[in-house]
Amino acid sequence: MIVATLRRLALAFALVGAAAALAAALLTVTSVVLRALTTRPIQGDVELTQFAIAFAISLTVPWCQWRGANIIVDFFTQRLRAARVRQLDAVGALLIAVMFALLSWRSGVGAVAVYQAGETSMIRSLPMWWVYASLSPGLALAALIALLQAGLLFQGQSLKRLQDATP
Amino acid sequence: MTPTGIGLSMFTGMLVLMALRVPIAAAMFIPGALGYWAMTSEPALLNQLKGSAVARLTVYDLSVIPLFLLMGQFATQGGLSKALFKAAAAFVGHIRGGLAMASVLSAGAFGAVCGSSVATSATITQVAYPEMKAHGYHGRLSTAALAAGGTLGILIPPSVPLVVYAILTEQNIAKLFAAAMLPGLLAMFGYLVVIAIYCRVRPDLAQPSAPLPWAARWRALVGIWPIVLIFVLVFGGIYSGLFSPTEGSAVGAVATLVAGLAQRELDLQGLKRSFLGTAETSAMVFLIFLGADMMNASLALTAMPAALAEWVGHLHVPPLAIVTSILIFYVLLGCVMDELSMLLLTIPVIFPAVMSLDLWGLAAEPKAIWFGILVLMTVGIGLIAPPVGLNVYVVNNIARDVPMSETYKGVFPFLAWDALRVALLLAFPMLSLGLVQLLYK
Repeated sequence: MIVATLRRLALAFALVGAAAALAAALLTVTSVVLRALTTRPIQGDVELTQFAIAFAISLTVPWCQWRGANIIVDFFTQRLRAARVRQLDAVGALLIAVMFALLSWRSGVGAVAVYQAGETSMIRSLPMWWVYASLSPGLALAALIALLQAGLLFQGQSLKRLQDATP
Repeated sequence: MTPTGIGLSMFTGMLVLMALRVPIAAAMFIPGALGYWAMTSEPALLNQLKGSAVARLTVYDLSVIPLFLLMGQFATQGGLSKALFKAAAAFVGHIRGGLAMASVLSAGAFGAVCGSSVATSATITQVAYPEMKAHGYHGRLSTAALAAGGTLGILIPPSVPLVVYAILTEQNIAKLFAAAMLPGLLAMFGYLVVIAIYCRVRPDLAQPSAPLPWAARWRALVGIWPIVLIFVLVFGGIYSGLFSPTEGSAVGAVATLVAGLAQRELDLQGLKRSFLGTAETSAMVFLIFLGADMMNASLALTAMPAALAEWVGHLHVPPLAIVTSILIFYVLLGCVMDELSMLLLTIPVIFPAVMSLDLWGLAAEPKAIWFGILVLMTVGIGLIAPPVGLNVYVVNNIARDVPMSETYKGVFPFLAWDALRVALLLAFPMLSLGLVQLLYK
């Protein structure tokens, strides 16, 4: 139940994230065309792209974690038994959960601080706290997924079946 | 503890965690954060972390990474690789080893719209391996040519590792792409020669087949116009000054999407697969960035990188010998580490040291560009060299009937050319800088 929900959320986040990146690409292309034809590009296209891509990437992190796509060095542990490897991977999942949780929490705190300071973007004067806040959900979901994986691995379960399920 | 003591503990902690299968991002982030705490204070660390994700993810130049990845995914799912291989095979397929040459040629062409070697190897292997198998090619030659050809994905621009290098060293991405062009083409044509010699020495590895009539060849060539158009659009736009590399990557992603849709190759499922493929790799790349940022912020506090640069600058060793040792170090490191983590971890430390050397009397910018291409080519070696060549894994994962040991045997002649090419570029910086000077007079 929890497993299925987290998976569906990660999948949805990833699709929305990639769609946001594509939207940023379309915006940029429109701006380039307008600039060439009318010398009047979209105002602040650069900052809009920056924010959209940052948001997009934060949303793709849970799916990457779900799929186990993070790069690891497996050279020195090739001879270990499968059970021992799972214990190591559980520790790895726990450590990356700490990283995600820290970044999610601190980006949220950053959002509050930036909101109080009333900081806005240079060209379109967009409220900057949105940018900070937009990164929190993806990183938080990734932390939850990594915690779940650590739990399963500590119980000696393999993640292979979960990860390979076709989207 | 002294700053140096803290720095060394962080570094050791990171290496131990990496060796124990901890994801590289976390293996850099956690010791980095602890080191930062030790160097400053808990509030200072928490304060640093408030902005670190935003600071990294909103870098405009880095937007090219997800956008080029999206472009590569659209090209993969849009069936562009099929047309490329068909066209290349139509022209050279009848020569002995010709299908292996066609694999290299199509990988090179695909590399011109894709910035990742893994994606290039996987895509080309899917279309070319079954063909070579059907024509009785030995698994050793076919898989080795595919693994080596796959490195053209990063050697020929666009190139994700080169973008990462550009960001880390604050160099111009467009100039680095230009500098990679000629060495990339040299790599591709050299691989063709390697295949020809290999098949001369071991004629049993591949059988020649009947040549196609010229009419069929031209027809196959016409099929690759979308790729040619996209390449001209993206790079023509960048070098004519019409748009920046980031804008170019957006144009490329949209154009490739349109090409895939127009050819009716890209359906809703393909679109979904492109999105998920982009998601996985983008997150993977940026997580390594976030981990390396934390590590590098702490290392900078310990002043170790500056001390190292100072020390290297005062060594009484010929500068070229130092660069050569660095490149050999990269080859060794590439045996156990992936290319992006390697760059993110070492470039902030090594780059200042290299810049302090007098190399062929080059000015700062050409020196930085030249060194970037050298590092890129060395990284390419790590992708196919035993014991862990990422491309070899990718190819063998698809060509499951060929043992990995066969591929590693087959890869050696290609590695010999790689090593020779690095030596050539070390001796003749103009191989990479010539085109940059021509374009930016």
